[in-house]
Amino acid sequence: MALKILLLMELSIMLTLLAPVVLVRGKLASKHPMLLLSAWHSSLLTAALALLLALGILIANGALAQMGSPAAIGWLDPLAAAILAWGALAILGVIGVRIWWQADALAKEAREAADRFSVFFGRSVRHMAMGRWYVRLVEFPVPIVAALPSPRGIIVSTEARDRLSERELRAVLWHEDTHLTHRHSAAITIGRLAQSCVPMLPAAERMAQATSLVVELIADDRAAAHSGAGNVASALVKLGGDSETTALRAARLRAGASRSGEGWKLAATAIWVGPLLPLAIAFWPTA
Amino acid sequence: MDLLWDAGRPLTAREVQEAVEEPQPAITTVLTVLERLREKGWVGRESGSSRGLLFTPTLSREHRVAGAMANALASTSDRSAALLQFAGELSIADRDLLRAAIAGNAAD
Repeated sequence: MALKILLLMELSIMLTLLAPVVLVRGKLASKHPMLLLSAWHSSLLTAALALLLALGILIANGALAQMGSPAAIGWLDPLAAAILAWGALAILGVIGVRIWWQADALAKEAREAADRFSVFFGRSVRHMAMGRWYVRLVEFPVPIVAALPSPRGIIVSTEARDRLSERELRAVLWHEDTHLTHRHSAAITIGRLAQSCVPMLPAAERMAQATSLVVELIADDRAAAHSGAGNVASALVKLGGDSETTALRAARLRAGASRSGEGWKLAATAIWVGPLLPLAIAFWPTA
Repeated sequence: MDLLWDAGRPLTAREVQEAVEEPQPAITTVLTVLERLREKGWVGRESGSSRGLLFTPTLSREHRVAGAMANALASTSDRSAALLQFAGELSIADRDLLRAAIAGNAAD
């Protein structure tokens, strides 16, 4: 049992330390954004699961020691086992309260934003259908195209529409459709939640930042696949003005950076076996 | 934006704060929102008055929908999950990462 706790703790710490080193390679983000996003989420889930299981085993061990069960860690004094168990329980409580607190704050922020944008769905004109979403055209003198997860839809300002050709507009709509279809707002929320729960941890900060980057690259790539990289790139330049961010994204598309073939998509799925490792360690039968 | 239109004259951040119904936001929050509106070109700022910095709307009242959009955009963080903008800004760290990636791709 002691070995399991050690292995789980080591796994959690190693992933927390290694992820911000390994998963910040620009080429990985640029060429395989889907794989990178999966790797971040899989690492987060694996590290969190390993920590929770280690704490859970410590709590179970304390309970077993109190009952005088031979299954408890033999060399550990029952009093020490109880102290460790209470400590683990306290850590679990602090983690739980912190996650709940931060998740509540993020949910409130999302509700307020949804309230602010919901007015456009009554005032504006239904412009066109894009897959499952309606695209709302809003009279506005600044070029804005945005996906709203709640109420779900896409907003296009008249200035943005006027600046783009039909093909470019279609490409931009594919980009926003990807955000909605792939639930990118949830991915961003997970990153922000991790960052707000443990703000001092570089892994959490880098994950939140990387998420906001890779969701844009994933959406750019899907839009490019449907409407052509040139159309997405020129739309970025037209709507981004002198923004360096959009210029860089356009340059990436023109360089044909994405290499996400079927093999890499499979790798992005396969990476989800990671969370099985802490479960295997925790539930591996011991003599 | 509604408060600035209703006033019909330039307002200070303190006057905007006092005009907001309870619970009133902190003066720093009011200043942040006014600055964001100014950066986006929807509010003008004048200095030199004894009252301090004065803010005036640059969009006409007729553009109420535009004003509501301006308010909604200004009040929503660029990094919020509630609004995914096509031409939104990334953090400096992400721009560095992207720049390095493009340089790396070009070198391949």
